[in-house]
Amino acid sequence: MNFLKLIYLFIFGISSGLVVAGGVFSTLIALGLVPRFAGRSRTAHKVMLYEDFIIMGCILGILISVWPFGEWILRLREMLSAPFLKTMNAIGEVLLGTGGFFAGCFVGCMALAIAEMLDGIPIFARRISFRKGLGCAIFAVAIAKLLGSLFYFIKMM
Amino acid sequence: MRVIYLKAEQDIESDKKTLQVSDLCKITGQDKKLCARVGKIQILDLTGMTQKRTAVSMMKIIERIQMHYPDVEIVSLGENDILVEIISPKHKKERFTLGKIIFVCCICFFGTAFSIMAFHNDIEILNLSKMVYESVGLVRNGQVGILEIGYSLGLAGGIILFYNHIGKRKLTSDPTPIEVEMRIYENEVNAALLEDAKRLREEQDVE
Repeated sequence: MNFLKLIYLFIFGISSGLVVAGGVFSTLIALGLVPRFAGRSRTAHKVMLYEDFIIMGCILGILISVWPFGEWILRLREMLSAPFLKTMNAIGEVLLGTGGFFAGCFVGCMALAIAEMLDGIPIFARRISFRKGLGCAIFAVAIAKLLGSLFYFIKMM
Repeated sequence: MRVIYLKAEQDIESDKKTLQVSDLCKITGQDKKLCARVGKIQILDLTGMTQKRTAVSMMKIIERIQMHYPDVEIVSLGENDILVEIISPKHKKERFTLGKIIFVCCICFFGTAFSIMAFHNDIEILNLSKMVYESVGLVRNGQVGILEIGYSLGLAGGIILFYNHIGKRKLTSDPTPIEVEMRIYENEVNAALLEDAKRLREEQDVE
């Protein structure tokens, strides 16, 4: 009986994983972020590589948010002696900084891509017959995002 | 009446400063000698031009050809406007390519990790899986269970199916969704550049 339950859970898990993967990643595709990155950096021939990194990033995300990855790291830390711990902390800081920066890049582009997909900017520009200074507007959005996110973190911490 | 057929691509890259018909489009027709001669007609002279891009109208090409061969009928089967991008042979090898590739890889990696975690946080996946465990009368004891194993396998399998490749090996001969999206993006960029050139009257066209 218990065995049947396990099989049920396994099938449940696999099916939901497949559907979630389809949903989440078709959204990412629809936003067209990767083609944009590849177009900007003129590296369209490396698109397959970028897809590989998306897959690996997804696996990291699963490890952290579904699997008790943090607990594994904590257990690993308990086994380490003090000097190792220090270097590990330093590596952790660096990883957090770079990882945070790149994740921020991605989320920032995603937010603007969503606005663009909904034609927010062109519609606004047309309504107020906005001809010049689109660059300024985008820059203002970027600065506002920076300030807003800092404000949020400072307020919430 | 002799007929020649021209087919132009939407965008071409060239490292030459003077472009002739055969650089801009493909030519065919019954009279092969005529085609070869038409191909040699010079259309653009970009020496001394600072811009890296220019647009040429098919009309301009037809006009030039008819200047030389008034009795030839020209049929254009391709694009009506051609985007010409001048790449200087010196700079053909892009700088910092490796750095750019690493940068984009990092964005894809951390960004995706962040978004999938944000999604899991959004749906409170730990609560959810507790509910699923309870639905079969089991208790989630904080350890990784069969549901998580299945979910992770499904998620990874789903993306691999979706993106249609593992590493360099494709599962089917179809292009991957990002490759398709890449082509769409390129077409949209070309269309926007052409539109801009037309509005600013920078296109090489007949008067």
